[in-house]
Amino acid sequence: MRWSNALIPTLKETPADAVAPSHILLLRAGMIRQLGAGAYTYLPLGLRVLHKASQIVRQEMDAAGAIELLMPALQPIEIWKESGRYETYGDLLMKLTLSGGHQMCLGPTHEEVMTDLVRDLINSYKQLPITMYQIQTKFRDEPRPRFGIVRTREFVMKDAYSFDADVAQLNKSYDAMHEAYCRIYDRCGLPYVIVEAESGPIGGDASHEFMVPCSTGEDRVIQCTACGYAANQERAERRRSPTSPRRHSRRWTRQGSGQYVKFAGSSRSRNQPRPSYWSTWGTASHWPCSCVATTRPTRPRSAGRSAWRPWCRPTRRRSRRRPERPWVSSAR
Amino acid sequence: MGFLGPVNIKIPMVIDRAIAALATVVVGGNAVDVHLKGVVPGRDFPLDRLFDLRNADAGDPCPRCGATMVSRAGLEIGHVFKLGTKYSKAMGATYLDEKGVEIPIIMGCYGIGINRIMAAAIEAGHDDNGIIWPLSLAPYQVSLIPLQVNKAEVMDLTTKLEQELEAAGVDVLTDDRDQRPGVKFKDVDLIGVPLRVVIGERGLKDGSIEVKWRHEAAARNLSLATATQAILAELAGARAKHDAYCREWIAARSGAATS
Repeated sequence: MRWSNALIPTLKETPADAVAPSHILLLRAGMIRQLGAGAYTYLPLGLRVLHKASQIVRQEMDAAGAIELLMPALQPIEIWKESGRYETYGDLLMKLTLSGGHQMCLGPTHEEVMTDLVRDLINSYKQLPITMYQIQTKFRDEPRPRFGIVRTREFVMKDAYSFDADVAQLNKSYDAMHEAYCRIYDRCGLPYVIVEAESGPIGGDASHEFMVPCSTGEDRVIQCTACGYAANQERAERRRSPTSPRRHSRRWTRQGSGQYVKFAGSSRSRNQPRPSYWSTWGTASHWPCSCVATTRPTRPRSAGRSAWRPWCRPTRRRSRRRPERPWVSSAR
Repeated sequence: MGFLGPVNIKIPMVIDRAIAALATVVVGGNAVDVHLKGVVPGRDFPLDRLFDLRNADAGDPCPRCGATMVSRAGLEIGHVFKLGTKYSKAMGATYLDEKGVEIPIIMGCYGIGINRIMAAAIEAGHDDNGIIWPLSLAPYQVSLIPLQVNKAEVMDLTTKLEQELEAAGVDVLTDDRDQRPGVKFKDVDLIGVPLRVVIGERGLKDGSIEVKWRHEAAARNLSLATATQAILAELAGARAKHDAYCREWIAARSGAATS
Protein backbone atom coordinates (compact mmCIF):
# COMPACT_ATOMS: atom_id res chain seq x y z
CA MET A 1 0.00 0.00 0.00
CA ARG A 2 1.24 3.46 -0.94
CA TRP A 3 0.77 6.09 1.76
CA SER A 4 -0.41 8.62 -0.84
CA ASN A 5 -3.29 6.29 -1.77
CA ALA A 6 -4.10 5.39 1.82
CA LEU A 7 -6.28 7.18 4.36
CA ILE A 8 -4.06 7.61 7.41
CA PRO A 9 -5.02 10.88 9.10
CA THR A 10 -2.38 11.09 11.83
CA LEU A 11 -2.64 13.82 14.47
CA LYS A 12 0.20 15.70 16.15
CA GLU A 13 -1.83 16.86 19.13
CA THR A 14 -3.25 14.65 21.84
CA PRO A 15 -7.05 14.80 21.58
CA ALA A 16 -8.50 16.69 24.53
CA ASP A 17 -11.05 14.18 25.80
CA ALA A 18 -8.88 11.06 25.56
CA VAL A 19 -7.20 9.72 28.70
CA ALA A 20 -6.41 6.05 28.06
CA PRO A 21 -3.17 5.41 26.11
CA SER A 22 -4.98 3.13 23.68
CA HIS A 23 -7.63 5.78 23.00
CA ILE A 24 -5.09 8.59 22.48
CA LEU A 25 -2.85 6.54 20.21
CA LEU A 26 -5.65 5.03 18.12
CA LEU A 27 -6.96 8.54 17.44
CA ARG A 28 -3.51 10.02 16.81
CA ALA A 29 -2.46 7.14 14.54
CA GLY A 30 -5.57 7.63 12.43
CA MET A 31 -7.00 4.19 13.16
CA ILE A 32 -10.38 5.16 14.59
CA ARG A 33 -12.66 8.15 14.52
CA GLN A 34 -15.49 8.89 16.90
CA LEU A 35 -18.96 9.23 15.45
CA GLY A 36 -20.92 9.58 18.66
CA ALA A 37 -20.81 8.45 22.30
CA GLY A 38 -19.54 4.89 22.29
CA ALA A 39 -19.58 4.56 18.48
CA TYR A 40 -16.38 4.56 16.42
CA THR A 41 -15.51 4.27 12.77
CA TYR A 42 -12.61 1.95 12.08
CA LEU A 43 -10.48 3.71 9.50
CA PRO A 44 -8.56 1.50 7.01
CA LEU A 45 -5.53 1.08 9.27
CA GLY A 46 -7.60 0.23 12.34
CA LEU A 47 -9.74 -2.19 10.36
CA ARG A 48 -6.61 -4.09 9.27
CA VAL A 49 -5.72 -4.66 12.94
CA LEU A 50 -9.29 -5.69 13.74
CA HIS A 51 -9.24 -8.17 10.85
CA LYS A 52 -5.90 -9.61 11.95
CA ALA A 53 -7.23 -10.13 15.49
CA SER A 54 -10.45 -11.74 14.17
CA GLN A 55 -8.44 -14.01 11.90
CA ILE A 56 -6.30 -15.27 14.79
CA VAL A 57 -9.46 -15.87 16.84
CA ARG A 58 -11.14 -17.63 13.91
CA GLN A 59 -8.18 -19.92 13.24
CA GLU A 60 -7.86 -20.97 16.87
CA MET A 61 -11.60 -21.50 17.32
CA ASP A 62 -11.66 -23.69 14.21
CA ALA A 63 -8.62 -25.59 15.51
CA ALA A 64 -10.47 -26.18 18.80
CA GLY A 65 -13.36 -27.77 16.90
CA ALA A 66 -15.86 -24.93 17.06
CA ILE A 67 -18.07 -24.24 14.04
CA GLU A 68 -18.65 -20.71 12.76
CA LEU A 69 -22.05 -19.27 11.95
CA LEU A 70 -23.55 -15.79 11.88
CA MET A 71 -26.61 -14.71 13.84
CA PRO A 72 -28.49 -11.43 13.46
CA ALA A 73 -28.03 -8.51 15.83
CA LEU A 74 -31.77 -7.83 15.48
CA GLN A 75 -33.60 -10.16 17.86
CA PRO A 76 -37.30 -10.49 18.70
CA ILE A 77 -38.00 -9.48 22.28
CA GLU A 78 -40.10 -12.63 22.82
CA ILE A 79 -37.07 -14.92 23.19
CA TRP A 80 -35.67 -12.58 25.84
CA LYS A 81 -38.96 -12.79 27.75
CA GLU A 82 -38.86 -16.56 27.37
CA SER A 83 -35.39 -16.90 28.89
CA GLY A 84 -36.25 -14.46 31.67
CA ARG A 85 -33.39 -12.15 30.83
CA TYR A 86 -35.72 -9.37 29.62
CA GLU A 87 -36.33 -8.54 33.26
CA THR A 88 -32.85 -9.25 34.65
CA TYR A 89 -30.66 -7.77 31.93
CA GLY A 90 -31.89 -4.28 32.64
CA ASP A 91 -31.26 -1.10 30.74
CA LEU A 92 -28.14 -2.38 28.98
CA LEU A 93 -30.46 -4.05 26.47
CA MET A 94 -31.11 -1.82 23.46
CA LYS A 95 -34.81 -2.07 22.71
CA LEU A 96 -36.59 -0.70 19.69
CA THR A 97 -40.06 -0.79 18.18
CA LEU A 98 -40.38 -1.49 14.46
CA SER A 99 -43.26 -0.54 12.21
CA GLY A 100 -46.38 -2.49 13.08
CA GLY A 101 -45.43 -2.29 16.75
CA HIS A 102 -42.97 -5.19 16.67
CA GLN A 103 -40.77 -5.11 19.78
CA MET A 104 -37.18 -5.97 18.96
CA CYS A 105 -33.81 -5.59 20.57
CA LEU A 106 -30.23 -5.34 19.38
CA GLY A 107 -28.38 -8.32 20.80
CA PRO A 108 -25.79 -7.78 23.52
CA THR A 109 -25.13 -11.56 23.47
CA HIS A 110 -26.76 -14.46 21.69
CA GLU A 111 -27.61 -17.12 24.28
CA GLU A 112 -31.30 -16.87 23.41
CA VAL A 113 -30.84 -17.00 19.65
CA MET A 114 -28.43 -19.90 19.96
CA THR A 115 -30.69 -21.84 22.34
CA ASP A 116 -33.62 -21.22 20.01
CA LEU A 117 -31.55 -22.61 17.14
CA VAL A 118 -30.42 -25.66 19.08
CA ARG A 119 -33.88 -26.61 20.39
CA ASP A 120 -35.05 -26.89 16.79
CA LEU A 121 -32.00 -28.52 15.23
CA ILE A 122 -30.56 -30.72 17.96
CA ASN A 123 -32.55 -33.43 19.68
CA SER A 124 -30.36 -36.49 20.08
CA TYR A 125 -27.34 -37.34 22.21
CA LYS A 126 -25.65 -38.36 18.95
CA GLN A 127 -25.48 -34.71 17.91
CA LEU A 128 -23.68 -33.68 21.10
CA PRO A 129 -21.27 -32.23 22.03
CA ILE A 130 -21.22 -29.26 19.69
CA THR A 131 -19.62 -25.82 20.00
CA MET A 132 -20.65 -22.96 17.70
CA TYR A 133 -19.32 -19.44 17.43
CA GLN A 134 -19.68 -16.21 15.54
CA ILE A 135 -17.72 -12.99 15.19
CA GLN A 136 -20.36 -10.30 15.09
CA THR A 137 -21.33 -6.81 16.20
CA LYS A 138 -22.93 -6.51 19.62
CA PHE A 139 -24.91 -3.67 21.16
CA ARG A 140 -25.07 -2.57 24.76
CA ASP A 141 -26.64 0.61 25.99
CA GLU A 142 -23.65 1.54 28.16
CA PRO A 143 -24.53 4.44 30.43
CA ARG A 144 -20.91 5.65 30.34
CA PRO A 145 -18.96 4.66 27.24
CA ARG A 146 -15.30 5.50 27.77
CA PHE A 147 -11.64 4.82 27.07
CA GLY A 148 -12.17 4.87 23.32
CA ILE A 149 -12.84 1.36 22.04
CA VAL A 150 -12.56 -0.23 25.50
CA ARG A 151 -16.18 0.44 26.48
CA THR A 152 -18.46 1.24 23.58
CA ARG A 153 -22.15 0.83 22.77
CA GLU A 154 -21.36 -1.14 19.63
CA PHE A 155 -18.48 -3.59 19.49
CA VAL A 156 -17.22 -6.68 17.72
CA MET A 157 -17.28 -9.83 19.80
CA LYS A 158 -16.49 -13.45 19.24
CA ASP A 159 -19.11 -15.39 21.16
CA ALA A 160 -19.07 -19.16 21.33
CA TYR A 161 -21.64 -21.48 22.87
CA SER A 162 -21.08 -25.12 23.76
CA PHE A 163 -23.86 -27.70 24.06
CA ASP A 164 -23.14 -30.88 25.99
CA ALA A 165 -24.99 -33.92 27.20
CA ASP A 166 -23.44 -34.08 30.65
CA VAL A 167 -21.04 -32.29 32.96
CA ALA A 168 -18.06 -34.37 31.85
CA GLN A 169 -18.63 -33.30 28.26
CA LEU A 170 -19.10 -29.70 29.39
CA ASN A 171 -15.80 -29.75 31.24
CA LYS A 172 -14.09 -31.04 28.11
CA SER A 173 -15.64 -28.33 25.93
CA TYR A 174 -14.78 -25.71 28.53
CA ASP A 175 -11.16 -26.82 28.73
CA ALA A 176 -10.87 -26.79 24.94
CA MET A 177 -12.09 -23.19 24.83
CA HIS A 178 -9.85 -22.23 27.76
CA GLU A 179 -6.87 -23.67 25.89
CA ALA A 180 -7.87 -21.95 22.64
CA TYR A 181 -8.10 -18.62 24.45
CA CYS A 182 -4.59 -19.02 25.82
CA ARG A 183 -3.30 -19.71 22.30
CA ILE A 184 -5.17 -16.70 20.89
CA TYR A 185 -3.71 -14.29 23.43
CA ASP A 186 -0.26 -15.82 23.08
CA ARG A 187 -0.39 -15.29 19.34
CA CYS A 188 -1.59 -11.72 19.83
CA GLY A 189 1.41 -11.12 22.06
CA LEU A 190 -0.75 -10.08 25.00
CA PRO A 191 0.50 -10.41 28.57
CA TYR A 192 -2.63 -11.90 30.14
CA VAL A 193 -3.59 -13.22 33.56
CA ILE A 194 -6.27 -15.86 33.99
CA VAL A 195 -8.41 -15.04 36.98
CA GLU A 196 -11.20 -16.87 38.75
CA ALA A 197 -14.52 -15.12 38.32
CA GLU A 198 -17.94 -15.47 39.91
CA SER A 199 -19.14 -18.89 39.01
CA GLY A 200 -22.93 -18.68 38.75
CA PRO A 201 -25.37 -21.57 38.93
CA ILE A 202 -23.07 -24.53 38.27
CA GLY A 203 -20.74 -23.61 41.10
CA GLY A 204 -17.28 -25.03 41.26
CA ASP A 205 -14.55 -23.90 38.96
CA ALA A 206 -17.01 -22.57 36.47
CA SER A 207 -15.82 -19.21 35.25
CA HIS A 208 -12.55 -17.60 34.30
CA GLU A 209 -11.70 -14.17 32.97
CA PHE A 210 -8.67 -13.30 30.89
CA MET A 211 -7.23 -9.97 31.94
CA VAL A 212 -4.44 -7.76 30.68
CA PRO A 213 -2.93 -5.80 33.56
CA CYS A 214 -2.92 -2.12 32.61
CA SER A 215 -3.83 1.20 34.14
CA THR A 216 -6.88 1.62 31.88
CA GLY A 217 -8.39 -1.61 33.19
CA GLU A 218 -11.80 -1.23 34.74
CA ASP A 219 -11.60 -4.40 36.82
CA ARG A 220 -9.53 -5.11 39.89
CA VAL A 221 -7.49 -8.30 39.95
CA ILE A 222 -6.47 -9.67 43.32
CA GLN A 223 -3.33 -11.68 42.90
CA CYS A 224 -1.09 -13.69 45.19
CA THR A 225 2.54 -13.15 44.31
CA ALA A 226 3.60 -16.32 46.11
CA CYS A 227 1.36 -19.06 44.69
CA GLY A 228 -0.15 -17.39 41.61
CA TYR A 229 -3.76 -17.39 42.84
CA ALA A 230 -5.65 -14.71 40.94
CA ALA A 231 -9.30 -13.72 41.02
CA ASN A 232 -11.34 -10.70 40.16
CA GLN A 233 -12.25 -8.59 43.14
CA GLU A 234 -15.86 -9.74 43.27
CA ARG A 235 -14.79 -13.34 43.37
CA ALA A 236 -11.56 -13.14 45.37
CA GLU A 237 -11.51 -14.70 48.77
CA ARG A 238 -9.21 -14.00 51.62
CA ARG A 239 -7.87 -16.25 54.30
CA ARG A 240 -10.38 -16.42 57.13
CA SER A 241 -9.31 -14.86 60.39
CA PRO A 242 -8.65 -17.48 63.08
CA THR A 243 -11.74 -16.79 65.20
CA SER A 244 -14.23 -17.46 62.42
CA PRO A 245 -13.70 -21.08 61.52
CA ARG A 246 -17.14 -21.46 59.95
CA ARG A 247 -17.21 -21.79 56.22
CA HIS A 248 -19.20 -19.78 53.73
CA SER A 249 -22.70 -20.98 53.30
CA ARG A 250 -23.77 -18.37 50.81
CA ARG A 251 -22.13 -15.69 48.78
CA TRP A 252 -23.28 -12.68 46.88
CA THR A 253 -22.73 -12.48 43.19
CA ARG A 254 -23.15 -9.68 40.76
CA GLN A 255 -25.25 -10.31 37.70
CA GLY A 256 -24.57 -8.62 34.37
CA SER A 257 -27.27 -6.09 35.13
CA GLY A 258 -25.47 -4.90 38.25
CA GLN A 259 -27.89 -6.50 40.67
CA TYR A 260 -26.60 -8.62 43.50
CA VAL A 261 -28.13 -12.02 44.03
CA LYS A 262 -27.43 -14.63 46.60
CA PHE A 263 -26.61 -18.22 45.82
CA ALA A 264 -24.94 -21.15 47.45
CA GLY A 265 -21.59 -20.99 45.79
CA SER A 266 -18.56 -23.12 46.22
CA SER A 267 -15.18 -23.38 44.63
CA ARG A 268 -13.25 -26.48 43.79
CA SER A 269 -10.95 -26.05 46.73
CA ARG A 270 -13.87 -25.80 49.10
CA ASN A 271 -15.64 -28.76 47.55
CA GLN A 272 -12.76 -31.01 48.38
CA PRO A 273 -13.14 -32.80 51.69
CA ARG A 274 -11.54 -30.87 54.48
CA PRO A 275 -8.70 -32.82 56.14
CA SER A 276 -9.69 -33.97 59.59
CA TYR A 277 -6.82 -32.17 61.22
CA TRP A 278 -8.38 -28.91 60.11
CA SER A 279 -11.49 -29.46 62.12
CA THR A 280 -10.52 -27.51 65.17
CA TRP A 281 -7.82 -25.41 63.60
CA GLY A 282 -8.18 -21.85 64.59
CA THR A 283 -10.72 -22.29 67.32
CA ALA A 284 -10.25 -20.72 70.69
CA SER A 285 -9.30 -24.02 72.30
CA HIS A 286 -6.09 -23.92 70.37
CA TRP A 287 -4.95 -20.59 71.62
CA PRO A 288 -3.29 -21.14 74.91
CA CYS A 289 -0.14 -19.61 73.57
CA SER A 290 0.72 -16.20 72.22
CA CYS A 291 1.30 -17.07 68.60
CA VAL A 292 -0.88 -17.00 65.53
CA ALA A 293 -0.92 -19.37 62.64
CA THR A 294 0.62 -17.70 59.64
CA THR A 295 0.41 -20.64 57.28
CA ARG A 296 -2.16 -23.32 56.86
CA PRO A 297 -1.16 -26.49 58.77
CA THR A 298 0.20 -29.18 56.51
CA ARG A 299 -0.01 -32.92 57.06
CA PRO A 300 0.28 -33.93 60.71
CA ARG A 301 3.35 -35.89 61.59
CA SER A 302 1.76 -37.82 64.45
CA ALA A 303 -1.76 -39.06 64.80
CA GLY A 304 -2.50 -37.48 68.14
CA ARG A 305 -3.99 -34.05 67.76
CA SER A 306 -2.51 -32.85 71.01
CA ALA A 307 0.98 -33.71 69.89
CA TRP A 308 0.77 -31.76 66.68
CA ARG A 309 0.31 -28.03 66.77
CA PRO A 310 2.58 -26.55 64.15
CA TRP A 311 0.94 -23.21 64.61
CA CYS A 312 2.08 -23.04 68.20
CA ARG A 313 5.55 -22.07 69.12
CA PRO A 314 6.44 -23.96 72.29
CA THR A 315 5.77 -21.28 74.85
CA ARG A 316 4.91 -21.10 78.49
CA ARG A 317 1.34 -22.16 79.06
CA ARG A 318 -0.65 -19.33 80.53
CA SER A 319 -3.42 -20.78 82.54
CA ARG A 320 -6.51 -18.92 83.64
CA ARG A 321 -5.74 -16.03 81.40
CA ARG A 322 -7.75 -14.85 78.49
CA PRO A 323 -5.85 -15.90 75.38
CA GLU A 324 -4.26 -13.03 73.59
CA ARG A 325 -5.64 -12.34 70.16
CA PRO A 326 -2.99 -10.40 68.35
CA TRP A 327 -4.72 -10.88 65.01
CA VAL A 328 -7.52 -8.69 66.27
CA SER A 329 -6.82 -5.10 65.48
CA SER A 330 -8.13 -3.52 68.64
CA ALA A 331 -10.46 -0.62 68.05
CA ARG A 332 -9.46 2.54 69.79
CA MET B 1 -20.35 10.95 59.34
CA GLY B 2 -23.38 8.95 60.27
CA PHE B 3 -24.54 7.77 63.65
CA LEU B 4 -26.08 4.46 62.60
CA GLY B 5 -24.94 1.51 64.68
CA PRO B 6 -25.80 -2.16 65.19
CA VAL B 7 -26.73 -1.93 68.89
CA ASN B 8 -30.47 -2.18 69.60
CA ILE B 9 -31.45 -1.52 66.03
CA LYS B 10 -34.60 -3.05 64.64
CA ILE B 11 -33.63 -3.67 61.05
CA PRO B 12 -32.31 -6.95 59.63
CA MET B 13 -28.53 -7.05 59.89
CA VAL B 14 -25.96 -9.07 57.97
CA ILE B 15 -22.41 -8.99 59.28
CA ASP B 16 -19.08 -9.59 57.63
CA ARG B 17 -16.86 -12.22 59.18
CA ALA B 18 -14.11 -9.71 59.76
CA ILE B 19 -16.39 -7.91 62.26
CA ALA B 20 -16.87 -11.09 64.24
CA ALA B 21 -13.12 -11.34 64.70
CA LEU B 22 -12.85 -7.94 66.38
CA ALA B 23 -12.64 -7.75 70.19
CA THR B 24 -14.25 -4.37 70.75
CA VAL B 25 -15.53 -1.83 68.28
CA VAL B 26 -16.67 1.78 68.17
CA VAL B 27 -20.08 2.15 66.54
CA GLY B 28 -22.76 4.74 65.97
CA GLY B 29 -25.29 5.16 68.77
CA ASN B 30 -28.38 5.62 66.58
CA ALA B 31 -28.82 9.19 67.79
CA VAL B 32 -27.29 12.43 66.54
CA ASP B 33 -23.71 12.90 67.78
CA VAL B 34 -23.75 9.70 69.85
CA HIS B 35 -21.17 6.93 69.45
CA LEU B 36 -20.59 3.87 71.58
CA LYS B 37 -17.11 2.67 72.61
CA GLY B 38 -16.16 -0.79 73.85
CA VAL B 39 -18.94 -2.57 72.01
CA VAL B 40 -18.30 -6.33 71.88
CA PRO B 41 -19.62 -8.10 68.75
CA GLY B 42 -21.78 -11.03 69.82
CA ARG B 43 -22.50 -9.58 73.27
CA ASP B 44 -23.92 -6.19 72.35
CA PHE B 45 -25.31 -7.12 68.98
CA PRO B 46 -26.11 -10.55 67.53
CA LEU B 47 -23.73 -12.29 65.13
CA ASP B 48 -26.31 -14.70 63.80
CA ARG B 49 -25.97 -13.78 60.12
CA LEU B 50 -22.33 -13.88 59.12
CA PHE B 51 -21.34 -13.65 55.48
CA ASP B 52 -18.21 -12.99 53.50
CA LEU B 53 -19.40 -9.61 52.25
CA ARG B 54 -16.30 -7.49 51.95
CA ASN B 55 -14.34 -7.77 48.71
CA ALA B 56 -10.82 -9.02 49.09
CA ASP B 57 -8.27 -6.26 48.66
CA ALA B 58 -4.55 -5.66 48.51
CA GLY B 59 -2.87 -6.79 51.69
CA ASP B 60 -5.36 -9.56 52.47
CA PRO B 61 -3.96 -13.06 52.97
CA CYS B 62 -4.23 -15.47 50.03
CA PRO B 63 -6.94 -18.14 50.49
CA ARG B 64 -4.60 -20.82 49.17
CA CYS B 65 -1.23 -20.08 50.72
CA GLY B 66 -1.74 -17.20 53.16
CA ALA B 67 0.80 -14.90 51.54
CA THR B 68 -0.12 -11.25 51.10
CA MET B 69 -2.07 -10.52 47.92
CA VAL B 70 -1.72 -7.50 45.67
CA SER B 71 -4.41 -5.69 43.73
CA ARG B 72 -3.95 -4.34 40.23
CA ALA B 73 -6.11 -2.94 37.47
CA GLY B 74 -6.96 -5.32 34.66
CA LEU B 75 -8.67 -5.01 31.30
CA GLU B 76 -10.99 -7.95 30.64
CA ILE B 77 -10.37 -9.35 27.17
CA GLY B 78 -12.12 -12.70 27.45
CA HIS B 79 -14.49 -14.71 29.60
CA VAL B 80 -15.27 -18.40 29.71
CA PHE B 81 -18.36 -19.49 31.63
CA LYS B 82 -20.21 -22.71 32.42
CA LEU B 83 -23.85 -21.74 32.03
CA GLY B 84 -25.45 -25.02 32.99
CA THR B 85 -29.09 -25.46 32.05
CA LYS B 86 -30.27 -21.91 32.69
CA TYR B 87 -31.27 -21.25 29.08
CA SER B 88 -31.99 -24.79 27.96
CA LYS B 89 -34.49 -25.30 30.80
CA ALA B 90 -36.15 -21.91 30.31
CA MET B 91 -36.45 -22.32 26.54
CA GLY B 92 -36.91 -26.08 26.34
CA ALA B 93 -33.69 -27.10 24.57
CA THR B 94 -33.51 -30.82 25.32
CA TYR B 95 -32.04 -33.97 23.83
CA LEU B 96 -33.02 -37.61 24.01
CA ASP B 97 -30.42 -39.93 25.54
CA GLU B 98 -29.84 -43.62 24.67
CA LYS B 99 -32.92 -44.66 26.66
CA GLY B 100 -35.09 -42.01 25.05
CA VAL B 101 -35.22 -39.84 28.16
CA GLU B 102 -35.54 -36.10 27.58
CA ILE B 103 -32.70 -34.18 29.25
CA PRO B 104 -31.92 -30.45 29.15
CA ILE B 105 -28.71 -29.67 27.26
CA ILE B 106 -25.85 -28.27 29.36
CA MET B 107 -24.44 -25.03 27.99
CA GLY B 108 -21.28 -23.02 28.24
CA CYS B 109 -20.54 -19.60 26.77
CA TYR B 110 -17.24 -18.06 25.79
CA GLY B 111 -16.63 -14.46 24.74
CA ILE B 112 -13.73 -12.45 23.36
CA GLY B 113 -13.92 -8.72 22.71
CA ILE B 114 -12.10 -8.28 19.41
CA ASN B 115 -11.87 -4.49 19.85
CA ARG B 116 -10.47 -5.04 23.29
CA ILE B 117 -7.68 -7.23 21.92
CA MET B 118 -6.73 -4.19 19.86
CA ALA B 119 -6.95 -1.80 22.83
CA ALA B 120 -5.12 -4.20 25.16
CA ALA B 121 -2.29 -4.67 22.66
CA ILE B 122 -1.74 -0.91 22.66
CA GLU B 123 -2.04 -0.63 26.43
CA ALA B 124 0.58 -3.35 26.64
CA GLY B 125 2.83 -2.02 23.88
CA HIS B 126 3.41 1.68 23.40
CA ASP B 127 5.94 4.39 24.18
CA ASP B 128 6.09 8.17 23.93
CA ASN B 129 6.37 8.02 20.14
CA GLY B 130 3.35 5.85 19.53
CA ILE B 131 2.08 2.31 19.24
CA ILE B 132 4.33 -0.77 19.29
CA TRP B 133 2.20 -3.44 17.61
CA PRO B 134 3.03 -7.09 18.04
CA LEU B 135 3.99 -8.48 14.63
CA SER B 136 0.82 -10.61 14.51
CA LEU B 137 -1.55 -7.63 14.89
CA ALA B 138 0.35 -4.86 13.10
CA PRO B 139 -1.62 -3.32 10.22
CA TYR B 140 1.56 -3.47 8.14
CA GLN B 141 4.61 -5.44 9.15
CA VAL B 142 7.15 -3.47 7.11
CA SER B 143 7.28 0.19 6.17
CA LEU B 144 9.43 1.26 3.22
CA ILE B 145 10.59 4.86 3.44
CA PRO B 146 12.22 6.28 0.32
CA LEU B 147 13.99 9.49 1.34
CA GLN B 148 14.08 11.10 -2.13
CA VAL B 149 10.74 10.37 -3.78
CA ASN B 150 11.70 12.42 -6.86
CA LYS B 151 14.81 10.34 -7.64
CA ALA B 152 14.01 7.54 -10.09
CA GLU B 153 16.68 5.09 -8.84
CA VAL B 154 15.43 5.39 -5.22
CA MET B 155 11.80 4.84 -6.25
CA ASP B 156 12.71 1.97 -8.59
CA LEU B 157 14.43 0.12 -5.78
CA THR B 158 11.53 0.87 -3.41
CA THR B 159 9.04 -0.51 -5.92
CA LYS B 160 11.17 -3.61 -6.47
CA LEU B 161 11.43 -4.28 -2.71
CA GLU B 162 7.73 -3.62 -2.25
CA GLN B 163 6.77 -6.10 -4.94
CA GLU B 164 9.15 -8.80 -3.73
CA LEU B 165 8.03 -8.49 -0.10
CA GLU B 166 4.34 -8.46 -1.02
CA ALA B 167 4.91 -11.53 -3.16
CA ALA B 168 6.36 -13.22 -0.07
CA GLY B 169 3.16 -12.44 1.83
CA VAL B 170 4.41 -9.48 3.86
CA ASP B 171 2.12 -6.49 4.47
CA VAL B 172 4.09 -3.48 3.24
CA LEU B 173 3.32 0.22 3.63
CA THR B 174 5.35 2.50 1.36
CA ASP B 175 5.57 6.12 2.45
CA ASP B 176 5.83 7.79 -0.95
CA ARG B 177 4.84 11.23 0.31
CA ASP B 178 7.14 14.12 -0.57
CA GLN B 179 7.83 14.99 3.05
CA ARG B 180 10.88 15.57 5.21
CA PRO B 181 12.35 12.32 6.64
CA GLY B 182 11.58 13.48 10.20
CA VAL B 183 7.86 13.71 9.44
CA LYS B 184 7.80 10.26 7.85
CA PHE B 185 9.74 8.63 10.69
CA LYS B 186 7.45 10.22 13.27
CA ASP B 187 4.31 9.04 11.49
CA VAL B 188 5.53 5.50 10.98
CA ASP B 189 6.56 5.29 14.66
CA LEU B 190 3.13 6.61 15.67
CA ILE B 191 1.20 3.98 13.73
CA GLY B 192 3.58 1.38 15.11
CA VAL B 193 4.80 -0.53 12.06
CA PRO B 194 7.26 -3.07 13.50
CA LEU B 195 10.04 -2.94 10.86
CA ARG B 196 11.15 0.29 9.21
CA VAL B 197 13.26 0.14 6.02
CA VAL B 198 14.88 3.38 4.83
CA ILE B 199 16.05 3.70 1.22
CA GLY B 200 18.19 6.76 0.47
CA GLU B 201 20.55 8.05 -2.20
CA ARG B 202 23.58 7.77 0.07
CA GLY B 203 22.77 4.16 0.91
CA LEU B 204 22.39 3.31 -2.76
CA LYS B 205 25.95 4.50 -3.40
CA ASP B 206 27.25 2.31 -0.50
CA GLY B 207 25.05 -0.59 -1.64
CA SER B 208 23.10 -0.70 1.63
CA ILE B 209 19.70 0.07 3.11
CA GLU B 210 18.86 0.87 6.72
CA VAL B 211 16.50 -1.27 8.82
CA LYS B 212 15.21 -0.48 12.29
CA TRP B 213 12.82 -2.32 14.57
CA ARG B 214 10.17 -0.19 16.22
CA HIS B 215 11.05 -1.47 19.69
CA GLU B 216 14.82 -1.14 19.26
CA ALA B 217 16.80 2.06 19.52
CA ALA B 218 19.51 1.41 16.95
CA ALA B 219 19.24 1.04 13.18
CA ARG B 220 21.32 -1.44 11.17
CA ASN B 221 22.46 -1.59 7.58
CA LEU B 222 21.68 -4.48 5.24
CA SER B 223 23.35 -5.23 1.95
CA LEU B 224 21.33 -4.05 -1.00
CA ALA B 225 21.97 -7.17 -3.05
CA THR B 226 20.25 -9.54 -0.63
CA ALA B 227 17.85 -7.00 0.89
CA THR B 228 14.60 -8.90 0.37
CA GLN B 229 15.92 -12.17 1.82
CA ALA B 230 17.50 -10.32 4.73
CA ILE B 231 14.24 -8.50 5.55
CA LEU B 232 12.28 -11.76 5.40
CA ALA B 233 14.85 -13.38 7.70
CA GLU B 234 14.58 -10.43 10.10
CA LEU B 235 10.80 -10.84 10.22
CA ALA B 236 10.95 -14.58 10.80
CA GLY B 237 13.61 -14.29 13.46
CA ALA B 238 11.95 -11.44 15.28
CA ARG B 239 8.41 -12.79 15.47
CA ALA B 240 8.91 -14.46 18.81
CA LYS B 241 11.31 -11.81 20.06
CA HIS B 242 8.96 -8.92 19.36
CA ASP B 243 6.10 -10.53 21.21
CA ALA B 244 8.32 -11.39 24.14
CA TYR B 245 9.36 -7.76 24.31
CA CYS B 246 5.73 -6.69 24.62
CA ARG B 247 5.24 -9.11 27.46
CA GLU B 248 8.30 -7.92 29.35
CA TRP B 249 7.27 -4.36 28.81
CA ILE B 250 3.91 -4.78 30.48
CA ALA B 251 5.35 -6.95 33.24
CA ALA B 252 7.79 -4.21 34.18
CA ARG B 253 5.15 -1.52 33.94
CA SER B 254 2.38 -3.30 35.79
CA GLY B 255 4.86 -4.21 38.54
CA ALA B 256 5.66 -0.53 38.99
CA ALA B 257 2.02 0.50 38.87
CA THR B 258 0.90 -1.99 41.52
CA SER B 259 -0.87 -0.16 44.25
